[in-house]
Amino acid sequence: MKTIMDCKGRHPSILWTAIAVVVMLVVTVGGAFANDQFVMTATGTVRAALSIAQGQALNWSQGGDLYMGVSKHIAVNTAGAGVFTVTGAAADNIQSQLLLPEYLWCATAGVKQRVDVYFTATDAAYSTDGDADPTTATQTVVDPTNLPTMTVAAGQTDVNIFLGGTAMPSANQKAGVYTASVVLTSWYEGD
Amino acid sequence: MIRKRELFKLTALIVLAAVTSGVAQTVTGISDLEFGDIFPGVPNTVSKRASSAAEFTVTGTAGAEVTLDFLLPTYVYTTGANMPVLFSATDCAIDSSLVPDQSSPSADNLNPYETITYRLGAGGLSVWLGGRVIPGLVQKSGNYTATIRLTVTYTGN
Repeated sequence: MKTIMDCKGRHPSILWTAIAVVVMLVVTVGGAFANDQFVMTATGTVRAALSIAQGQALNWSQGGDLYMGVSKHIAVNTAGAGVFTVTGAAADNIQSQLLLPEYLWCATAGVKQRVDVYFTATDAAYSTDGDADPTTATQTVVDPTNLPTMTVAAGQTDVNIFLGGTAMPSANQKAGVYTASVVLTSWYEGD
Repeated sequence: MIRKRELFKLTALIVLAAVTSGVAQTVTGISDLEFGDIFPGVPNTVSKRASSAAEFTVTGTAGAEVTLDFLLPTYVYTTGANMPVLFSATDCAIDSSLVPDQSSPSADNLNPYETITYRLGAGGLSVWLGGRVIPGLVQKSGNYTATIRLTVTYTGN
């Protein structure tokens, strides 16, 4: 302080320059370290996962067994039609794919005993009215090899998929119980 | 030779300039990152261009350089379950224009995992962030949330 007082009138610039530098340093340093943060949220709502249940098997013995050399067709709107129930959330679009067998196999009739089966472009149907009975449901007939996008109806949780088909036992077909798997894969379209 | 009064004026100007450059910056959130409805098994991406992208605004001294550091979540959570959330190296965009344009920002495809250095514009900065969630096939239903933190710091440049 004594030095500054002594400098009055002779070296005023030293004092003022020093003050300016100090103030600038304080402000600059303060600015360099000041920061601000904001926290926001990432949000999303996951819909109910899809589930698939077999309502009933596609049954060529419905109304009577198969006979050797006699083809039999099960229509999609009859009691023997297969039924899958896909459960999801209302108004959501669901895509599905059927993996269809070419043969029914018999485990008890001997090696390589099989019945040819085939499915036409009208052998599948679906309903969105919640009715899983193929004889009463309001069906939309579709190609089982090219299922369309299905939408769960408002107020419902289920889409029912029905499957018919034709079995062609040979003239010398061995007696027995013949089975095969039909695989339905369903997934959300996601929009 | 500068006289004392002139020197005082000069000093006042310097101090005023210094104080002006030291205006604190602020970060404000405009909108959350909203993934909306998510379907099990179907990944959901929100573009940084979308209205559902996260949006921050930064205000401060125009022309001042700042760094932006995100603290990003790895998962979003609901009670008893979580779900991965990912951010790509191009999920962030910035615009320092007076009228920010999310569709054509001045700095695009920025990596939100790295420190981003930028200069504030006359209107500050607008920052957008997109992301992606990966739900499992049997992802538990419910509302999932996580926090995103953005820290903005003056560099002094």
